[in-house]
Amino acid sequence: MNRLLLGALLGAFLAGLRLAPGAELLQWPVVEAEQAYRMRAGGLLLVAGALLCAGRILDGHSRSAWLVGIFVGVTLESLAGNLGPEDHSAAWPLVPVALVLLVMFSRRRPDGDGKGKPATAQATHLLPAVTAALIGMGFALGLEGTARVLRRLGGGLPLDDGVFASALALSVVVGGLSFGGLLAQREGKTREGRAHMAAGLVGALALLGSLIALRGVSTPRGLRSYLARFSFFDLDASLFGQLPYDFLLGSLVFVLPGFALGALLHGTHLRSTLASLFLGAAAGLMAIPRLLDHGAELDVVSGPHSAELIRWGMCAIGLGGLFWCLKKRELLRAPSGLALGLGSLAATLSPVLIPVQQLRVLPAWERFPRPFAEVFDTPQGQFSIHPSAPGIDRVALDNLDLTPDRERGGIDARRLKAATALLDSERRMVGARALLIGQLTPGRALVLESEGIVHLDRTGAWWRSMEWLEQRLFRDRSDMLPNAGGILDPESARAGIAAGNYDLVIALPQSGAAPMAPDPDLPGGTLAVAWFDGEATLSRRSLPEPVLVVSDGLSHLSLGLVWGADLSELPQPGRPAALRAGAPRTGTGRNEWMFVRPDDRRRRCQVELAERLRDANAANDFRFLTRGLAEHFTVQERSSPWGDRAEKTEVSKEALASFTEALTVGEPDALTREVWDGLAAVLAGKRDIEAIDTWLRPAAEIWPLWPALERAIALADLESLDPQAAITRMQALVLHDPNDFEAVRLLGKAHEQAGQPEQAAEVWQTLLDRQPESRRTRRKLALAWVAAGEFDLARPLLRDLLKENPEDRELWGLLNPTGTPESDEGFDPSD
Amino acid sequence: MTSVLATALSLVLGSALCWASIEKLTLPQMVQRIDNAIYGEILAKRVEAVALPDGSGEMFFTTLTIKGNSVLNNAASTVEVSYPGGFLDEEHGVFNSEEPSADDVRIGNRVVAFYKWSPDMGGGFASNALYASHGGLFRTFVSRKGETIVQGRGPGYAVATNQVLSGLEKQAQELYAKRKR
Repeated sequence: MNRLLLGALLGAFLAGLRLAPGAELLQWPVVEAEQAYRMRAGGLLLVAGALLCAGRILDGHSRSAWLVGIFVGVTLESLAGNLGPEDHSAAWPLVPVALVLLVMFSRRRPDGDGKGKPATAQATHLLPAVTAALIGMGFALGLEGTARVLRRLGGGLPLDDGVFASALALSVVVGGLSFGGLLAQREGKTREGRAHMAAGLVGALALLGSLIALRGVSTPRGLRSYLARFSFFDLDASLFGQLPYDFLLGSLVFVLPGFALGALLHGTHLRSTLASLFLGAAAGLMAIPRLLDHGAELDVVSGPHSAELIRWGMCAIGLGGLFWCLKKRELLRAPSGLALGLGSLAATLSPVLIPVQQLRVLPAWERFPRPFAEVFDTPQGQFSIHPSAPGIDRVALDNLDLTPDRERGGIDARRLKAATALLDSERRMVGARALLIGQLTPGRALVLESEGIVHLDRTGAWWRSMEWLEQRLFRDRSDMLPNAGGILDPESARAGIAAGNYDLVIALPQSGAAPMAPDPDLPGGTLAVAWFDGEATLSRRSLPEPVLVVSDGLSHLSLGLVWGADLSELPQPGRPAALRAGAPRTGTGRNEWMFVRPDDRRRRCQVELAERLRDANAANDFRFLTRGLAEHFTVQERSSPWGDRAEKTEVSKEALASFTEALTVGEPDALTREVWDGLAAVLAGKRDIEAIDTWLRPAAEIWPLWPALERAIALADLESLDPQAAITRMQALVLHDPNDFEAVRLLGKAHEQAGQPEQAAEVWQTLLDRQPESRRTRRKLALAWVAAGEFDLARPLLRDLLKENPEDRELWGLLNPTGTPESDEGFDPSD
Repeated sequence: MTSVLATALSLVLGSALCWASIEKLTLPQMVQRIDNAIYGEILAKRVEAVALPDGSGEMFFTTLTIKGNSVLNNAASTVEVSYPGGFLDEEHGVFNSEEPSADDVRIGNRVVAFYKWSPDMGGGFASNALYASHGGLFRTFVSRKGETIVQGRGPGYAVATNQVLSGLEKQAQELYAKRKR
């Protein structure tokens, strides 16, 4: 029982050795690899120490219970239970405490206690400590190299890592139970370490096997082909991030090295040898950031990558073997000894003998294969650059987005604007200094500059790659880079914050799991805002009050924690909304998420977050708005991937009624405006004219000259074949804001539809004066002149347009028209 | 157990080869090719799965029950009109890139649907096929002036621009009369 308990505690301890994002503000989106590996290496050193001090628990007894305990501990820690991150952080330190107590207790038990043989004498070291350490290092490097690639095939949550770890632990148990006894038996006869050394070399071969397996599933075709073999589970790539999928993948790549490792752990009876294995593993983990470092210049083509770690692991095991050969030279005379020696040499030379290409793992579950421009590996993980929309490149780290795609660009901008809006106006007038913990993009730079940030430093765990990433993202727009500010390493950034160099610190999220919510130590006068992605698991988290909430309309929510500013919990006209976050909810538990598709998971997270906000704000002025948001997100469902954003958004009457009530509370705050802007866009996009008439018109009467509402209503007027009503509406809006180009465009369209080409031409000319490069507007103007009979005005413009695009057949016929062409007074939705 | 999204998408590629594919049509061309067109309310919607002849999977068809009047001859009727695509439940079905959107086929919508009988839309499934897939279905709404407006889908579609229903019916009936001669 003690061995089982020891194993369980060790397994739980090892599985919990994870530095969570957000453990510190500067590691909000991504943890620093060096720190993470140091933490894990430190944990392994503790394990080595615990094994040395474990006393009689392990000596002379079968390791089976111990290994089973490790598997149980890993699985329980990773998967089971519904502890939230805060509960987990509070409970987990008890594990090493329990471990220490167990070790102390075991040291007081008398000799020969329990069943089995008496305690083994420590005198004979079958495997030299250096060899054992090198084997441990080899396994750590190889397994970590495998895990780093495997992680990119999962759902990106710690849960996925937990399943992979459980698959490895199970392989270790099975390997130990199956082969450990054989190993001990073989060694019992000769007591020369040969069997252990052989197990180590088999492990090296097994690592090569896992590399081959990884290569097989790292492509979409290979992955689908592998999953299709398990027809019983009925799996395909769209079920990524779920337990059966993760477990099968983990089993595939870990089974062989797991068996070898299990055999070694089971068959190694000396505590000192076991401790050496873990010591070596700790050293291996510490070496990883160095092995993956690109040096001074980032080499995205042929730089180091995770698959090479597997080769380095084999090399380390080989070196261990060579050391063993050096110590046991006499054994080389025997064929088996010679074979081991040659095998060790081959393993040592594997970095030279075995070519390994970078394994680029990109999401295999997307509708179309995601195009990528560059993919390269760093200690932080695999960076990939993906064109998302014309001029917008998306940066992902281990397939989790660091920068927004086209769909999420809106909410990203709103986060930045909401954060900068908290600065006092005087500071913004003069120009504020800010630190961005996140990846700068042209879009983000534009927003921050327009919001008064004149000095922008950037930092993050991946700071060494930031310069290259910025050059890549800004390659055609270098003028959009901040004029003042630079990329800082985290230490310098920390020093800058402590010195009060910044008016504002903004931390932006990576997609995936929600970071921890630290309480940063900020000097007076420094404001910090850290953003959660609303599609992350937030409902069970403890959150400080109040929180900023922004929305991009009706698609996404984002939650911001604020330090250094007093937020009013009352709606402030035009200001970011600060809502009560309320108590954590029970919500969906960690283990339940493993059976939910990632798309559905994101939807449910938004629902749970919205419900939490609704419950927390049920008695204040945000009650209608939050009720509406909860009703809205509840009705969202899976949509066709071919639909546009409006088609993918469900609209419920209950939500609309709640949103309408929210308008009566007072002048709308920023969140209410964002929601209604989104509503207008969705209803216009759906072409739901009756809904626009029912909901938007009354809203526009409550708050006139609301641009998004007015434009949507004007579109409804055009669809209803009432262009005059649209003209009246848009004239008022353009008068209110001549820079509302969309309103100007609608006015032009309305004049066209009303059969008023002269007026339409005037509008197009006005628009062209503001946007002289717009071909579309020039074309419109030419057509309007033709419709108005002004051929002399139209002809030069038509010729220019045809020179630019001779394929534009419609214009050819207009060069020498006979009479004025008839206008179709219907509404063309494609225009 | 039927495969879910990823494999279902591969069925989309197969179904795209089926008869009900989108093609550019004018109203005269559409009237020339169809059996009939109905303006009415969508009363019901159901999805059926049909096994592929080679046993490699299933095809899914959505059938709308529309009650209303023929656009071509004003005759009252209730017809069932089908198109490829649809989901039986959360896990079984397929999204078809050419099917009408969910907004188009909500129960209670009043639509104009052009259809033609097909003895085999795929896998032996026989029904009135929505002609040109989503290109054969047009939503309508009642404007504030009380007119019923048919919403056009843009150039290349049988109803390209928004127009009053009565105008569309008049055009369609004239074209149909010419066709019968």
